[in-house]
Amino acid sequence: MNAEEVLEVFRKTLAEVEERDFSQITGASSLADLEVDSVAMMEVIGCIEDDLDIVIPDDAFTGAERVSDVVAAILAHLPG
Amino acid sequence: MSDFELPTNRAELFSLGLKLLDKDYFIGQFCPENGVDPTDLFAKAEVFGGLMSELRASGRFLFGMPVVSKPGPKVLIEEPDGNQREMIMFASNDYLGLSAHPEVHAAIREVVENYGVGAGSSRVNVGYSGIHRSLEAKLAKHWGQEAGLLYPTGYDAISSTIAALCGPNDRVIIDASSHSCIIDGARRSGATVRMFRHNDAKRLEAQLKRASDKGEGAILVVVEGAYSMDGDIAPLDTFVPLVKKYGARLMVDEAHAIGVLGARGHGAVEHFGLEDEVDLIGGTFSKSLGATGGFVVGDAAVLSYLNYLSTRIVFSAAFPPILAHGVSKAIDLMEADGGLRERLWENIRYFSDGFRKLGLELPEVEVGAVPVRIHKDGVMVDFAADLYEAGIYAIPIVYPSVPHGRSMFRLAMQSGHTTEQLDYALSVFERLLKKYEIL
Repeated sequence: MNAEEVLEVFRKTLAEVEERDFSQITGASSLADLEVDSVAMMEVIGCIEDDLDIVIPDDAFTGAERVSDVVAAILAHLPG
Repeated sequence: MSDFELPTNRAELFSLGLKLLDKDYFIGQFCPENGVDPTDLFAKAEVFGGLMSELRASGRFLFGMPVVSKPGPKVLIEEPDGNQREMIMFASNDYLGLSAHPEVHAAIREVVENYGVGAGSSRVNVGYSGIHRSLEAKLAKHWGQEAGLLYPTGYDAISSTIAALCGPNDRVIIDASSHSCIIDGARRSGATVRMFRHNDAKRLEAQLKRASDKGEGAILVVVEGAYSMDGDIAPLDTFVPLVKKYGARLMVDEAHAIGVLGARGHGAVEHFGLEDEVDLIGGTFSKSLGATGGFVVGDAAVLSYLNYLSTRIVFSAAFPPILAHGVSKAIDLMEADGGLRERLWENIRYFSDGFRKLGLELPEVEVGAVPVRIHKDGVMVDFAADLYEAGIYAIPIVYPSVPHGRSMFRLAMQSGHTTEQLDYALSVFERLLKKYEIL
């Protein structure tokens, strides 16, 4: 799975949890601009962990400011 | 102390005070940034203590002020300079005023001579008394369950039950507005923890489906009967069929619902008539029942398991038998005197209608506290200080307890509040809501 595919998973899961359209977000998008609160983001990450069958430690997202930071953290925990 | 200088802006000062209560922030960010010696274990505590003293001396940090009078709708607060101030209390969860009820006090006096003050040891050692046994039997019978089990506190009852029941192969699904005891227990269990949007059945089902699709271990859903910060109750009638559909178990923490909801004050499960459908019911005696201690009721075999595998039971002294006797009397009063609950709800309706008449938008209040949303984070510290000066004790709820822009006062009601007290509080709020341009 590459960065673009992970980004698509992130977009799709955000849309599922928040019931809004996130198709326009890119890696450069600011997380603050998404207007997704931290609890909803935890729900999103949990869903991604389940769907990709991975476990991501809580501190993997420390300091994340852009969507690309989240995508990188997910990529780093994918097998292989 | 480090060389850190406290902000002079009062809102920033208050915000800092709240941030310092987050241990991860204080140790992980504040201390390194301010040169606190990381090799001295106590250095951070000295810095913290100094900062807290200065914050309290500023008169803008109202948390933990000592009450020096009997609990109730009107109390005496002791200020840092020793001055005592009479306040109308809107921050206590003693919704029915049972902590100060003379019959509860008489019940405690009745047994203190024979049972002493403390339990003496853990309940699995010799800390279990006939009084504890009677209270467990009463809880089981009155809550319509097979058995009851007491814990030292309500926090222990919920957190330790989850931690003892669930393991690494299991999954705990919790509401996004869950109390710390639920989150703590779920994390300690080692199970996979998933949150769903507050009270959202669709998101609960999405989490249940993902858990079911994984097919690993068991699933426990934990919700609260009433959410005091959100001012709403869990839609248990919607949740129960979903939980059953996916073969999960449901535990309900009735902390803020006991004494407030249900025909006999048993909580949200009784309110919805789901006593036979919920797997475990837990709660605390520290709110409507006016004491301390916690409990879980449910299947006898499960509670026997919990009795020996809950760390908070095995490694903690049982809660005092005299309090168990007081709680037993408080349950009798709560069930028998429906007037207590009626007066509480009259006060909730009167107060929330009063705010609506002032022009404030208020949701339907389903719990024992009226949520007055201010939305302007920047005025909260001065607003709270003005309330304090006017003799109204109300704790401001600000970020990080709620998201930015959703600042509020959670005004906890009591059956003992008088109409005069509520009218006075409304008049003060009217003045301040205008002063801070909320109205």
